[in-house]
Amino acid sequence: MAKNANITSADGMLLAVLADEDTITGFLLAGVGNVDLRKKKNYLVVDSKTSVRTIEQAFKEFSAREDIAVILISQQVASQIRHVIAAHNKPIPAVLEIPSKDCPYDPSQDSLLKRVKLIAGFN
Amino acid sequence: MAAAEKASSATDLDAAEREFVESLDTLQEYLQLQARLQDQLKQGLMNLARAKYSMGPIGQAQYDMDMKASVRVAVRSEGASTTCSGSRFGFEIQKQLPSATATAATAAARRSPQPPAAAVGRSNVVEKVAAADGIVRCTDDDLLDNDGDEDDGLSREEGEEEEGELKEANEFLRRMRMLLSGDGGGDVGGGGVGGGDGNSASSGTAESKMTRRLRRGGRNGGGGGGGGGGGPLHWFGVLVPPALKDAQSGFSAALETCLQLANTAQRMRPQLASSSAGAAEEGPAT
Repeated sequence: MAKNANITSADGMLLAVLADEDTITGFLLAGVGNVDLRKKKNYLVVDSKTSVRTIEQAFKEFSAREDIAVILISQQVASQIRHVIAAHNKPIPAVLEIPSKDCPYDPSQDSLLKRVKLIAGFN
Repeated sequence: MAAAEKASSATDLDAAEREFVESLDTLQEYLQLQARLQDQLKQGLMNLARAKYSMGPIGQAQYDMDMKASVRVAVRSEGASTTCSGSRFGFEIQKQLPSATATAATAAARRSPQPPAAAVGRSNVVEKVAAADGIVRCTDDDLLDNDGDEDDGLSREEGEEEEGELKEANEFLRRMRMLLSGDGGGDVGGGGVGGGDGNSASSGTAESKMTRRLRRGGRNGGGGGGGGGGGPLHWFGVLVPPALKDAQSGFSAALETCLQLANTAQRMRPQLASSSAGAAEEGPAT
């Protein structure tokens, strides 16, 4: 039996973004960017100098925050922390892999589609 | 008895087949949305590159460190699943107004018992104070006529954050009136940084002081507003190339596609959960 749909957050939750500088700039132009009173951002600019540990910490921080509903992560960045994304099972925040600036979207790398493939037995 | 068992197994098979077909449809929709998102991002990044070519570097150095999100996500819980893996949520975009002061003005106008014409006039005055560029173009009539109405309209409910913003706007109006009365009531219309046309030196100085104060107030009022409309565009200068505006609209469209993707992924969650549960049952049996 289906429950009635109810809004769990009246004020609205944020989107977090982990991607290259240009993609982040674009999403910030769209109005996604937020810096709270503790100077915590909801985005992480990833470049060649960003370490995997930094990306992991940022992802874990975003997934632990209660005011973030969706985490957008570019596929190139996601491939560096694949093990962390695979361990993320919560429905909120939802993790969504987006195409990178330099590489086109590869369905075989998407963690969600990998799981579907595994369960459906398409090997 | 055997016939009943056969019928129930046939029904189960039909249900499983339907579920399988639905999951394939959802998967196809997901892939189509990803392709659309890729095109939109490509277009947005191309426009951003064009903007960089015409105005120079665009990057982290220009970000506002006090930015506030103007686009948020409303989360709806759907489905009656009790398990975390099977629970489903829906996402909707919520867009907020670019300026908190503008929000206060419209909220005050809605709450006021005054007739609509007076309310519009009052809200126009308040919005003029909170104009994005901070330069107010008012006439004496606006200030004098709305004087009484404005005070009456100031009866407000307690504990509302918007009332603070409205109070600030009214403070600026009062200061303007004081400055005008102090200088003999010069015409303020069209006042820029350099003072009015043909005004005396004192009223020109007062106007430039006023304009500076209003700029400061406008900046303070609009700085917390964050994105949407022109908010983030202003980080990169007053006059931005059209390519940057195109990039903004491109990424806004991409954002909507992202939320559609998130909703599609959420639809796949219960199917994944039920499939994995079914696979787990079959595993020990074989």
